[in-house]
Amino acid sequence: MQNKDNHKELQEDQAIANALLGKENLHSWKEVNMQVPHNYFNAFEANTLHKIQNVKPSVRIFTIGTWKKLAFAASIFAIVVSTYLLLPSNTIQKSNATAMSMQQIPNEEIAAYINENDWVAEVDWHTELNKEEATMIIMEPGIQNDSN
Amino acid sequence: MLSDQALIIQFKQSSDKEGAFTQLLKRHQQKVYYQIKRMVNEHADADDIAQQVWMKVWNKLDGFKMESEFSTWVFRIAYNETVNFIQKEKKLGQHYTSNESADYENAAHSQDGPASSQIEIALEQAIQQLPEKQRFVFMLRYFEELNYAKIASITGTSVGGAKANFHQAIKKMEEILKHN
Repeated sequence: MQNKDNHKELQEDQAIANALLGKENLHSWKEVNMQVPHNYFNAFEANTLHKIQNVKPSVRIFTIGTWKKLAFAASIFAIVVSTYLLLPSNTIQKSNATAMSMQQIPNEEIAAYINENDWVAEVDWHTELNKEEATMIIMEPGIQNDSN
Repeated sequence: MLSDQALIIQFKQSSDKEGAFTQLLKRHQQKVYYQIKRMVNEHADADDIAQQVWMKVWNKLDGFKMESEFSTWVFRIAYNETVNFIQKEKKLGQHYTSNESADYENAAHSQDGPASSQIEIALEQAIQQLPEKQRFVFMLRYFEELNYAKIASITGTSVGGAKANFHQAIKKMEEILKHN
């Protein structure tokens, strides 16, 4: 029923347009606008598919509202400030803890540690000295050769 | 032959999206192209817009909820793309210049096309003077023979608004023709 009404209404509308604008004029105009290059629609299909295959997936840019921007900026500010305030106090606490533990070690233990490792340092020292002397002995004749 | 709905479901579910999309494109591309061509006149412009329309269909079809017919949805995309194009061209001052009627005259007098009379050229000018919405509604109603509910959905207006647009378009064209 509704389809019939629609069809009747369409015919009436077309009749009005034909009467006022001329049926032949309208159809000639339509024909002129129907002209397309040869094989256009087949090429269109291929071109569109080609374009689709070659288009990279689009990058989504998220835009945020003003209040969201403010909230985002505030949270970043809070992170920076809290990091600045908390980090030095942590470091101080750690260094105090180290100092306390050093004080708790008895002096005898420290002295024994130094004594035990003293000969190692001496050996290293002597080795280094010997190395330097040997280098100097090797270099001296070379210098003489150059001067000659 | 599969219905539009079945093809859309196939597109959403299967890995062979191109197969389903090609079927939909083949089925609707001519109507979409001709509607755009009647709006912009130039084949190259119509071709560009039509390609943009189908690219959008490809990108958005996964989100299409099938609350309207597929053809209505495609025509709606075509309407938006065409109106955007015309408005951009207007801003650049390239659209609706005197060249347009000359272009039409050339096309009308080409060897392959039918001969054009003065009244047809005047009709073309009258059509081009209509606001975009009225023109789009007139084309959909007179040439595509769509019902007003569908036209209203495509152009984002009420059924009454679509009817008013159609009749205003005819009246306006008649007046322009009378003055010519």
